[in-house]
Amino acid sequence: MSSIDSEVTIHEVTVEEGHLLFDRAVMEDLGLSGSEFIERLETNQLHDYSEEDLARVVLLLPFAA
Amino acid sequence: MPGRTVDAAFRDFIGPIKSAASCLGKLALSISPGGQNNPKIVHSWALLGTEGVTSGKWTFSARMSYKFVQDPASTQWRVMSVGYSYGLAYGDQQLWRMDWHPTSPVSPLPYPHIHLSFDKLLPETPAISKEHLPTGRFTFEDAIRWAAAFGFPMVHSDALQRLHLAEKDHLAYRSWGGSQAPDLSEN
Repeated sequence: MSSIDSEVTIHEVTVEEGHLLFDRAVMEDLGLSGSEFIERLETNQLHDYSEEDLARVVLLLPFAA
Repeated sequence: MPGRTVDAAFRDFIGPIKSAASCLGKLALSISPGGQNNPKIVHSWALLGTEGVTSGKWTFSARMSYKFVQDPASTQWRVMSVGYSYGLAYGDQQLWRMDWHPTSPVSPLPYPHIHLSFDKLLPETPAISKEHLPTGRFTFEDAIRWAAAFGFPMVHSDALQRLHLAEKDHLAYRSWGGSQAPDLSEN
């Protein structure tokens, strides 16, 4: 297992890194900033986006916590 | 797989994922804050940030959300996946994406499904990427096997064996149904 462990590393991101990662992913998938996505999610204003793209982004919400 | 502590449960959960991911190359798994030991909230991991692994024109992406669960009788902890998205693209063609997001607030589809599309590479085929084709639940190892079958280069000649071993423990302890993974490592 040592060779496998050296090939794949785990990086638990900081809160700041998590926000950056989430922001980048949302921009890439939906063309929105992370904060704009969350605001629209909370106010149910995401009708212009496909459900599958939205669902993929929602999987990453823990990075924005 | 259950572990005595939260930390042990995470190690048991992430170990097979690391083993499977090693078939793709040297890479990093990004874990959300507290994702190794905070049982109070849902967590996620993603390959290399969120952009996935590339090899030539191929891109394999994976992200999963999970939570810690404590067995009320034994008090042992385990990690349970609560959603995933695995995908393979060739150039700008997203060939397939295996999705499961049963608790998503934005999707009414609680069942696992796959999105397939080949229309950019094969224009005579229909553009059906929006179709949600129902499936059983896929494992991360399943997704890597699919990627390998489509042509994503594996960095180890024993990749199928690694995937089989990585999946064995997970399948032995999982609480959900779906297809049993055959041992394809001899083929």
